[in-house]
Amino acid sequence: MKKWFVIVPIALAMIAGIAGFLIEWVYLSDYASHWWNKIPAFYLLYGLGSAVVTLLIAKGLQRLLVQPDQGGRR
Amino acid sequence: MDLQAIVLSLVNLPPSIILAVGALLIPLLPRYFRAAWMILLSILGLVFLWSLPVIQASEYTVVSASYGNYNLLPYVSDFLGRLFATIFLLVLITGSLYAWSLDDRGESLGTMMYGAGAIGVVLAGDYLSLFVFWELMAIASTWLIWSRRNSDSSAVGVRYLIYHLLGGGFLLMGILFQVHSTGSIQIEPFTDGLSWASLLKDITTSPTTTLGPLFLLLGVGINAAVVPFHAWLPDAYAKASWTGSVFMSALTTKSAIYVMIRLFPGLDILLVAGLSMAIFGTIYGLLSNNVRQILSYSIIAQLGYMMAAIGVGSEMALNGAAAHAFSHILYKSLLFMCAGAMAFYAGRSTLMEWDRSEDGQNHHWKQPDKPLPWALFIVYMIGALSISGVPLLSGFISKPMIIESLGKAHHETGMLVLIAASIGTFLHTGLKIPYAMWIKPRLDADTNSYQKEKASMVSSKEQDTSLPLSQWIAMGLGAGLCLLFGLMPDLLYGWLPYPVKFSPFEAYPISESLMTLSGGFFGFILLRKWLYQPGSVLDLDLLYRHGGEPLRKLVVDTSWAIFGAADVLVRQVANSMTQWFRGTDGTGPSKVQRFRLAQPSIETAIGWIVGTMFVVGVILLL
Repeated sequence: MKKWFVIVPIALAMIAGIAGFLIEWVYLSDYASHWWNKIPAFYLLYGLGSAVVTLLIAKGLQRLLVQPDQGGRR
Repeated sequence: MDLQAIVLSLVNLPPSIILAVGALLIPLLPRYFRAAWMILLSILGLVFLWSLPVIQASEYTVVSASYGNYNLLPYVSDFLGRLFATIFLLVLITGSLYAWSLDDRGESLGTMMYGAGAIGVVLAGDYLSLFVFWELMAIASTWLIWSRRNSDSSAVGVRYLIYHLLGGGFLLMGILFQVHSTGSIQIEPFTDGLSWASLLKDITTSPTTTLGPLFLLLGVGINAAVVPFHAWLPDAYAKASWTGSVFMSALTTKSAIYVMIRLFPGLDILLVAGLSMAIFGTIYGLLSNNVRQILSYSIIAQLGYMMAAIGVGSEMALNGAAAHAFSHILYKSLLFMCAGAMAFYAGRSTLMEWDRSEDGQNHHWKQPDKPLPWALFIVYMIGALSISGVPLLSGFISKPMIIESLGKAHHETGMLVLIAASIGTFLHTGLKIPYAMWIKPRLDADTNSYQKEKASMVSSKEQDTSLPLSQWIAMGLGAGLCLLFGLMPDLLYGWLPYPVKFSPFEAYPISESLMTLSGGFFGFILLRKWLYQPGSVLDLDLLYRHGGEPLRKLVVDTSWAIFGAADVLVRQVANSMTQWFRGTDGTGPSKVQRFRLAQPSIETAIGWIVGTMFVVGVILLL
């Protein structure tokens, strides 16, 4: 039972990513209104990259901005 | 007056007046009739609102009156105002249903007055009506915070009220300068090449014409939670009553966005402010550990989208801002309703708390009191995926419109910033909260000997019905509306102020959305442990909350000491004169020396200052 909590969301995310890439490949191969449209699967990489960068920033700010609760641990 | 004229005059009744007058009956009604009455009033408001003929991109004055040399327009209907009033009334219906079992006359009355204020703001055609409804909204919403009736909420309510009275004071000053320089109290947009640089440049050469827009911008900006004037929002929304926060998430900030659209379309500084808000709200949402606080910070991020679009100012961008305000109210009220239900099951509103084992050494995640039902997961995820911009849900029909409008205006960096903020929103609202509330407790169930899960599985039906049915219906209705508008965007597009030349169901926005969310999901999988940190987030309110004591000492104590010294001096003089006249050596004055000064709080002092500003302003306006 527990493994489905992990497998289902990962499978859905993979399907979404592949579907998005296929739509881009089939319908948007000639579309270039912005410079990044020339990079294949740019939004997939941008999604991953910006999530990692945002989480890095949040992690960096945690020590500065999050005051631990009484009796808790960091 | 014949029957036709009476019917016509009734149809012209402003929805805000229907709500405000109807609300006065609420204290007289028995418990379950109150919510039914609130829903009935809101439906009546919708009927009256939609019975009026309105033409796109033009105004229709429904009610007008003369006041001295000024023409008051308390009820003007156009596409923009009707759109905002419609969504406010819809949220009053779903929220009242959610509050069906609420047994608090004051809170129900406050809710309807709050709704009346917000609807009055978006249908007002002159500054005086706008200001009156604006202040009604501030006072009634404070009541919703105080309705929770604990020490936290009373302090938060005072801080909230101070912020909003201060904002109201700035708004009033802006109105006074504006009326002085134009001679008119009608609300007109500042469209003649208004820019931040020109405002700052002209402040010395023509202060009377510049101070009006500046103070208006400041007053409305406080209500719109523009960073750095945002601290009241997460402070108040996380501490208001559970039902109150549902209404608050919808009305105050969105009515400010409406005024921004009306007054400042295309003001460049709003683009910068919007992008900053999007990033700020996202980062703080990731740092927070409290469900309602995360949702509050995500409001700031979403307001950033709207503000950036207003800053761009094109027809497409303004349509995007209005459409996003509409969709945002739909899914955010749903998310706040779900937050209340989550706290009901979990027994807390924090995502993570440390729980010590018996030997006092090992720490692990404290499990929720009861496992949260999957039905709640489904309605929550409809709201969370809507805000993340997943295709076929309400957020997807407005967010890409704003992003594309930035692209068309050649703000490519702005586009990328908003896409990144969208991924951040997905991280905290779409992944962080559900992982902590539904997935993690079940993954940990065996290792923590968490046996309640099995017990709850046996009696899951019992668990589900323990939350009032009206709350399930309200959340279901909210989720249904997110799906309805997500599947049928033309329904909303037909209500927007300008003709819509955009379709979300094209290859580009769908492909962009699917790929960015997929990438963001894998980022979360990799680094999710960083997201969970029990503790309080320090925001800018720290400055005035901790700086309050020195400020009190400086301002209040000093002025009190001066007045006290003057008082002692006057008494001594009076006493000496009495002695001189009477020729006695009475001992009365010794009491003066023991005169003790009362120590008022900073809130009282600021309240007096703001109150005085308010009264003086009203007198000047009149």
